[in-house]
Amino acid sequence: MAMETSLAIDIRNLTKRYAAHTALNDVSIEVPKEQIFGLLGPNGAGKTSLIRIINQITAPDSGQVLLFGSPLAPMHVSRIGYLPEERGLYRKMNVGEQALYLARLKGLSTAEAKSRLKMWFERFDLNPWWNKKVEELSKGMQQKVQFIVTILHEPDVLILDEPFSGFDPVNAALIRDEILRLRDNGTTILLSTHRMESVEALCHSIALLHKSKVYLSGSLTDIKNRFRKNEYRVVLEMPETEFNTHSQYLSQTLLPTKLEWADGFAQMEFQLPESGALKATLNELLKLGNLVEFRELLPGMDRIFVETVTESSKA
Amino acid sequence: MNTIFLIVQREYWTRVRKKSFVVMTLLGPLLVSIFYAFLIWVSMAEETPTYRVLVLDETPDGMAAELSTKAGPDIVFESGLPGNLSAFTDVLYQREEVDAVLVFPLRAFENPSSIYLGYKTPPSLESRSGISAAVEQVLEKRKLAFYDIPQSTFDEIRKRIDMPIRKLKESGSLQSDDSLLRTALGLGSGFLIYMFIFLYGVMVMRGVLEEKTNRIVEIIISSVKPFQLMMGKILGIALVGLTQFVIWALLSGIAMAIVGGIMAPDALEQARQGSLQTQAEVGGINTGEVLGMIAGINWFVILGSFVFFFLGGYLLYSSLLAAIGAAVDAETDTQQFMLPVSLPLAFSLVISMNIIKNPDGPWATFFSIFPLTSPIVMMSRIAFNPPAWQVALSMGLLVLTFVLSTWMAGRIYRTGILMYGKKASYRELMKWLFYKGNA
Repeated sequence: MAMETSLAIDIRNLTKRYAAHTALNDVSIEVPKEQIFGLLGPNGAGKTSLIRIINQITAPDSGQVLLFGSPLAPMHVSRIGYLPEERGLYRKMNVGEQALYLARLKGLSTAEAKSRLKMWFERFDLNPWWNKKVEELSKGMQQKVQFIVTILHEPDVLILDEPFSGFDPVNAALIRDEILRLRDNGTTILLSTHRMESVEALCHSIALLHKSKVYLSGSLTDIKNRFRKNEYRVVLEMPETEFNTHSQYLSQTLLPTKLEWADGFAQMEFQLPESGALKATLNELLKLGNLVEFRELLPGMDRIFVETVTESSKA
Repeated sequence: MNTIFLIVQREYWTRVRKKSFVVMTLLGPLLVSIFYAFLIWVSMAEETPTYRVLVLDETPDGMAAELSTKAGPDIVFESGLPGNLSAFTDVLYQREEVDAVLVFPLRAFENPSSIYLGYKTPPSLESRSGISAAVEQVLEKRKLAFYDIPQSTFDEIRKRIDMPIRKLKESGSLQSDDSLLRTALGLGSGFLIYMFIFLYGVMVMRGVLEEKTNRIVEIIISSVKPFQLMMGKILGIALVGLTQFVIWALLSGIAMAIVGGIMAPDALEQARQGSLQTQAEVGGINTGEVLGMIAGINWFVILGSFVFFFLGGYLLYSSLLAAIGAAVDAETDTQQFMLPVSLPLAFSLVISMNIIKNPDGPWATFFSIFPLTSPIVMMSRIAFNPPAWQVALSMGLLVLTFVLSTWMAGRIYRTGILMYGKKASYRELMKWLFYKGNA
């Protein structure tokens, strides 16, 4: 059945209805192999429903999910690692014992699980806590244990739902580095999050779910290009007196969103009506002073997110 | 299958190693043996205070002089004092050790109901009957003399027979009556099943609720099916319960033997013979017959059905309780769903206590077949050899019902454990039953 495919997860026309509402409405998403894929969307968009279907916790009403080219089957459970958003541990159970139990549920042998856990506990400074009860651990440490348990069986696909929540910046960085390392080693990672800065920092492609539908999908660069608004930033070197002479002209011709002078540099940010006007504008500006910086201002993911969601809400 | 085993293992080990389990398992037999020791001690202790009675005899011929001094081990009659009631009353309240005044008025013989006891300290039940018996005895003697009946004749007339009650078998042979033993056996095992279902069923519910509120459940069911998790928990806790019962039975037996050995073995022997004697007096049974009765019960059937109804009932109820645990967010919310589950359980205990008088009556028959009550009620009946078809029907229905209930519970469970902050109603639960689930 399994064909050679470049997709790790191929979600085809998924629909999932509950009694009162539709959680997923004809959702199709392609998650390429060995990448970090961002699954975005406001609360209640259907992200958790989708993730639960991929994890075979629930079944769709219609549609199909292919994992590395073959339809989801029980044996896929051991190829997926899942860190749910709402996550916890048995409070009264020993940390090590619990990690061992969860690893064995994923199909690891006791010996294998033990040796891998030793390695990871060492790496995350958790060794002294092996025999402690979970309730004695801080929230951050519990999160570390959960993360270890999620990746211990070396899954091909890792599904992380808000993996950074509950971590302080130091540990968040630790987790981020591990995620990047896993990607470099060939793991496909589905990252569901509200934190756009982690999307920008980590994801190669994304899909934006809203109101049970896919509103946006593709690589981050493509999406940003789609949302480019011909906004540019230019910094020219010029004395203050000269800036004062030109400032009126500049604000009338460029209608800048930002125009200021500081420490010998004039900074301006503006939007052009069309990209064809760029060359002429730039030529004009070059006459005024030495060009120090020029770049296009691409929209940030949070802006794209808000824009898409509010647009569609109006519709 | 392997994963179910892992879950069973975890559920079992984490519970068996808990301090509370160890304490309860050891404390149970200790409490039983303390209670047992207390019973022996009470029966041996002769500390019941003496009940001292002043006898005011106004009869012309001194009837009260014949009051037996052996009315009871702890009743003392003081007679022969002069004076009238007011003088006696003074003495009663002056002397601290005197408890009551027994008054034989002038015409006590002609009018026996005029005899009365006036107390300062209320007499115990034992003292009451002792004093009454002593007075009756006096009157009896007087009447025998009055009618000129020799004591021996009277004794002959009054001789009690102990009518033997026997089972007349089809073959024509007689078998000793063992219905008391069977009643005790039936009620005892019914009660044990009730305890087990309740204690460990609630433990299942708490366990499910714990996983849900801990939010560990989503991690686990990404590795195993919800049904496996539920069944693993139910089976693991069943093993915990069995372990506890076996340890209790063993330790209680040992502890009681030790207590019995330490606390005056003679007394125990006496008590044993005494009780056999009383039994022999009542039912004309001797030790051999008791042993015969025990041998006459089909223990294989009793034990077999005990295990069957015990597991069947537990599976049925614990699956329902698991569904409740999955449907709610906090233990306080379980109330509304607990009632319909605990009601039939408590009801079957009450029923079995009553129907034991008529173990083949229509109510007994109905409730021992009806699956929600059958584990307890049929177990109470089983010692009375109910018709085989009824037992078979009851067992069959129980199996069908627990298959159905685990199926239903599995569906409610699977939806419920992932549903947070939503107050489940019965209508909601019905919807969950028919959601499309895991393929």
